[in-house]
Amino acid sequence: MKRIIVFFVFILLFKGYGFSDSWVEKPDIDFYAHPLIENKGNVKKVFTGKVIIQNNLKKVKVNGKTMDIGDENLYEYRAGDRVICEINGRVSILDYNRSFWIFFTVGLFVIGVLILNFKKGFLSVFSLFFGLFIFVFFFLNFTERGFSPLLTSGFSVVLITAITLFSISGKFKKGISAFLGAIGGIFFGVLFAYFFLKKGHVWGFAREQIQLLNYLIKNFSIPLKSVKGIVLSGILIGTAGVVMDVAISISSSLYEFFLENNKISSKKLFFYGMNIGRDIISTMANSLLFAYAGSSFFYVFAVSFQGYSLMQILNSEGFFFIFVEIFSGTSAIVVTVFLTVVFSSLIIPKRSYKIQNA
Amino acid sequence: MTNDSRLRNLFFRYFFIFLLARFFVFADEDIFAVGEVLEIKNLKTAPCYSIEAITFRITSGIYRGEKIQVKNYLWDDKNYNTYLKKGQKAVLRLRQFPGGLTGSIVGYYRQNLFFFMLFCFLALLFLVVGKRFLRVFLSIIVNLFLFIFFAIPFLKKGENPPLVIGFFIGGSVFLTLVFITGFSKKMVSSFVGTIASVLIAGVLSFFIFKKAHITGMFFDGSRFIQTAVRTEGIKINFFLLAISSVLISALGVGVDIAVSISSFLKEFSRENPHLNITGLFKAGINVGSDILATMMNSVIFVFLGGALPILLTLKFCEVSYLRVVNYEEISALIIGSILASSVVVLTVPVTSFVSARFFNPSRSLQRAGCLKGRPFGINKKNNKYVNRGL
Repeated sequence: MKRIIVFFVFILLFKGYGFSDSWVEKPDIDFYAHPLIENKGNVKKVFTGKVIIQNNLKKVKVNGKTMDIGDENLYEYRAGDRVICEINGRVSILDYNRSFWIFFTVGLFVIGVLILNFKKGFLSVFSLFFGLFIFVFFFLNFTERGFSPLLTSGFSVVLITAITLFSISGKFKKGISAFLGAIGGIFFGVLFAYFFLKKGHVWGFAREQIQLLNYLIKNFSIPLKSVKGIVLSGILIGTAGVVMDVAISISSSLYEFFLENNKISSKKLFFYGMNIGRDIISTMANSLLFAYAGSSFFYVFAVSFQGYSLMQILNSEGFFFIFVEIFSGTSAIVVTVFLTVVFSSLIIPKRSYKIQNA
Repeated sequence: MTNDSRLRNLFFRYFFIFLLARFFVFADEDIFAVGEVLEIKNLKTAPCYSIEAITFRITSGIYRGEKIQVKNYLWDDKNYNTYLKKGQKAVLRLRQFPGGLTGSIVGYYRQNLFFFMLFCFLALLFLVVGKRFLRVFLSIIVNLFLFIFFAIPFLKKGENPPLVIGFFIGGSVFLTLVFITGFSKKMVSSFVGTIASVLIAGVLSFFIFKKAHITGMFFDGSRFIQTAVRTEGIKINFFLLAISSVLISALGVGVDIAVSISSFLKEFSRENPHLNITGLFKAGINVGSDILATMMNSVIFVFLGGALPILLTLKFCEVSYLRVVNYEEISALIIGSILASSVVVLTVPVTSFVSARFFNPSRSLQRAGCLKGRPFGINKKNNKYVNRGL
């Protein structure tokens, strides 16, 4: 019960000035009552259970035992729902148990990919999930210990790019040229984003999640120093996903040219590569835009309520951050195309002193 | 000029006139103005905060030339402050009261920086892409326009989200395809392929989100939307909004794959006219799965990048793994990103099927009254072309 009251008090106190740079009142004044911060240092074991109705009363079945409900958080639970809960004499329901549907969706996706092409699909799905696992594992654990988030995410992105590109391409020459081009493009994208974010004094503070993280940093002894690294890491990983695809497409296509004609020169490869790259840029330019629009859809919609004139769109912190994300990502694609073509045309053609078809 | 490009030019001309008209007729909801700092005075200094009184001269809008005094609150946390110097510009929000003009500082003036960013981006595009850079840039701008000036205003009025977003998706796919492929069979097959896969994924996401009890109330800005909408009395269905966000994120990549497969099948069917629908379909699936292998990363990684702050917060608050994964925001992100990638997976067979039917040569040969689907080429005996032109 207490948690519900605290949660609703938090909602009421949230004044919603929070989408402009100048704050009439500090937005994190009320954060001490945030449910997550309440939980800190208060680790209890979480169980999974199912809601049943017994004697016209709602009860929860946990590990075979039926128990009374102490309090229900966040939703109205009905009979038959799978939930997660804490046990404290009575059961306190925390949230729905959505694990089944997560596995269902992931399973559907993996089966769909495997149906299309078993060998390639398996490799790509494996590298995707392995890469995700590596990133989350490295980023969360090492940042908690005090390493800079930008360095850990940079390191894991390099690792993920290497694994994905080399496993999908199969040949060393293809993989190395794509890898070098991708790394160069990602690096440029992050530099672009850092430059414009710094000049515009925007570090994502219009988002509530970042305000909460900042509050945690200031008031609790956490090894993390500032939020800027997190924001840049987000842009880094977002760019990495798109850039990998571009790099491998170009290096694969140029490798096909090499397979057709062993004696093709670097200049010709460069010329063909730039043509292919132009086509790829014109189709990929939109995919990043829509991916960012979709992932921050609710946020953009919320910001639009706070003044929606052209001046606000061009000047406000929230919109500016999204525009920087989009444009830095697309610039990273453009630079990747150029660098991959350069590296491919240097590495792929046959040279007498280089290893053949490693 | 060919018929195709003439039609395209006409279309663009009228479309841009329409866009410009919409742009200028766009009404302001609040009075924002740009002001230049004339003078800064220190009003009050307390341990946690200090207040400055800044005099602005307004340099834009209807109140141009007027002076106004505004309070600037400086807190002990640097990130919540707007630091202004003499001569610097800032954006103000103005209100007309009977006693005079009052207002507050909204934030820094970033317009010039925004256009500088656009310029850098355009310069980079031009260096790498060459003469066609304007086309790429225009496709991005057109999609942004459609989103900002059409989709969001209708959603704010409380219209049904899938309908609005459906129109937005249809319009944007149509325009992007017209830019890339022009009016042709390729365009129609890519269009049908993308829209069909988006529809299927929409139905799937409706079912899964409903079963997983994702209400859409716990996203980044949902609370703000709730409070803002309550005063105006509009009903917004957050659940349908959540579904629409998944569909939008899948759009760009879906169009890309659809165009690649359609172009490939068009050339491939011309090269190998003896293949029937099944052969073309299989070839399309092979190429599609090659492209798919790397492209499915993009949406998932973008969603992951947006989720990093909340993941780190949950880790610092020592929340158990089971609770983190079942947290509505995190599970909606996971399910949403996987569903968006499923649109990409679905686009491959759907577009291959539609393109195979379109570019199937035996059918068009039959229609032209020629050979009933038999292979054709040069008759080696008398060196005559047997094909009657596709």
